[in-house]
Amino acid sequence: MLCLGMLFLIDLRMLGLAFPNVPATTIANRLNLPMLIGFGIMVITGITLYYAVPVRNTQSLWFRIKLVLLFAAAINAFLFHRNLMKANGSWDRNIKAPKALQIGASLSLGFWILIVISGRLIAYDWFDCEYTQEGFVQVLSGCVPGQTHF
Amino acid sequence: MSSSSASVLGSYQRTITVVALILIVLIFSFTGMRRAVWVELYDVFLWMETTPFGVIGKTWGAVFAVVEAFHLLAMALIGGAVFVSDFRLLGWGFKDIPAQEVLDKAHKVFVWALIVVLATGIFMACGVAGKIYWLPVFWYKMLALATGILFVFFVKRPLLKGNIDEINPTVIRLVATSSMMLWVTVAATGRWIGFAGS
Repeated sequence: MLCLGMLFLIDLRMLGLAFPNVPATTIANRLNLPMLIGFGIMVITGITLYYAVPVRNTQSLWFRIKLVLLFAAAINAFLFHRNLMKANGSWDRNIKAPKALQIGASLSLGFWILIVISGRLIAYDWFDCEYTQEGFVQVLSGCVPGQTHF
Repeated sequence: MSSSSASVLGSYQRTITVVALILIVLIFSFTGMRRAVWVELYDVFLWMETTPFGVIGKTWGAVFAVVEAFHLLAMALIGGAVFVSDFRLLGWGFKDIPAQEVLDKAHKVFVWALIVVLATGIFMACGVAGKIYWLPVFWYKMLALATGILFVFFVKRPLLKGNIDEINPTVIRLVATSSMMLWVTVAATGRWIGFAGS
C-alpha cells in the first residue's frame, strides 16, 4: 500500500494524470523515501512468505515470472532515475514529463501491475509440479522427475 | 453556511451527524439487531452468486485473480492518496506546497481509485458470496469501508474545505491519524478475508 501507492503517484504525475500543478521532481523526490520504506517492508514480508513454503514457491511458475518482472522493474527504475537526474528540471512545471520519463513511468506502471497479478496467481496450483504438467511447464517451473515432497 | 451556523449543532453540524451515524452503526453491529438483518441478507448473497459477475467469478479462477489484482492495485493507490494528504496535514512532507492543493489533488486520485475498488470489490463479492457471508472479517471490512467513506466525504473533506490555518492543529492531527488508521484497517481486513476463507 505504501510502496505501490507512492510509486503510482510518481508515475501518474510523470504522465500528467495526478498532481499536474505540483512540480514533478518535487513529487518524485518527496515520495521516494516513503516508497523505499514501503519497498523494504515488502522485501522483508515477501522473504518471510517465501520461506513459509520454499519448495512450492521455488517451483511456482508464477513466482518465477514475478521474479523476472521484478528484475525488469528494477532495471527500469534505475534507467528512470538516471533520466530524471539527466533532465535538468526545466520541464518541472509542465503537465507531462519528457518522453523518456513518460515511457519509463508507463513501463513502471505496466511492470508493477503484472507483478501484482503474477503474485496473486501464485496462490493457484494450475502449474504446480505436484500435478502432471506439459513438458515446457515442467522445464519453466523446474520440476524434478520423481520428486515426492512439494 | 448560514443554515449550519443557525443549527443547534453549530458549524460542525455535519461532523456531529456523521459521528452519531457511526455510533449508530457500531451499536447496530454489536447488538442483536445485526443478526436479524444478517439472516435476511442471506437470500441476497445467494442471488449475487447467480448474477453474471457471480458466474464468471466462480467459473474462471484466472478472471477472478486478475480482477482481484486490480482491486489490490486500486487499494494501493488509495493508500498513496491517503498517505500523501495525511502526511501533508501532519507536516511530514510537501510543506512548501499549499495544503489545500495537495489535499484536492490527492482527493481526485482517491475518488478514482475508490471507484475501481468498489467496482472490482462487487465483482469479487459476487463470485464468493456464499463464502464471505459466513466470514465475520468480511463484515468488519464492510464496516471499516463504510466508516472510511463516510469519514472522507462527511468529516475530512467538509472540515478541511475552508482555511486550514484556522483549524486547531490537534484536530488536524487527529483527522490525519484517524484517516490513515481507517484505511489501513480497510486494507488489512480485506487481506484477512483471503486467509479466513481458506
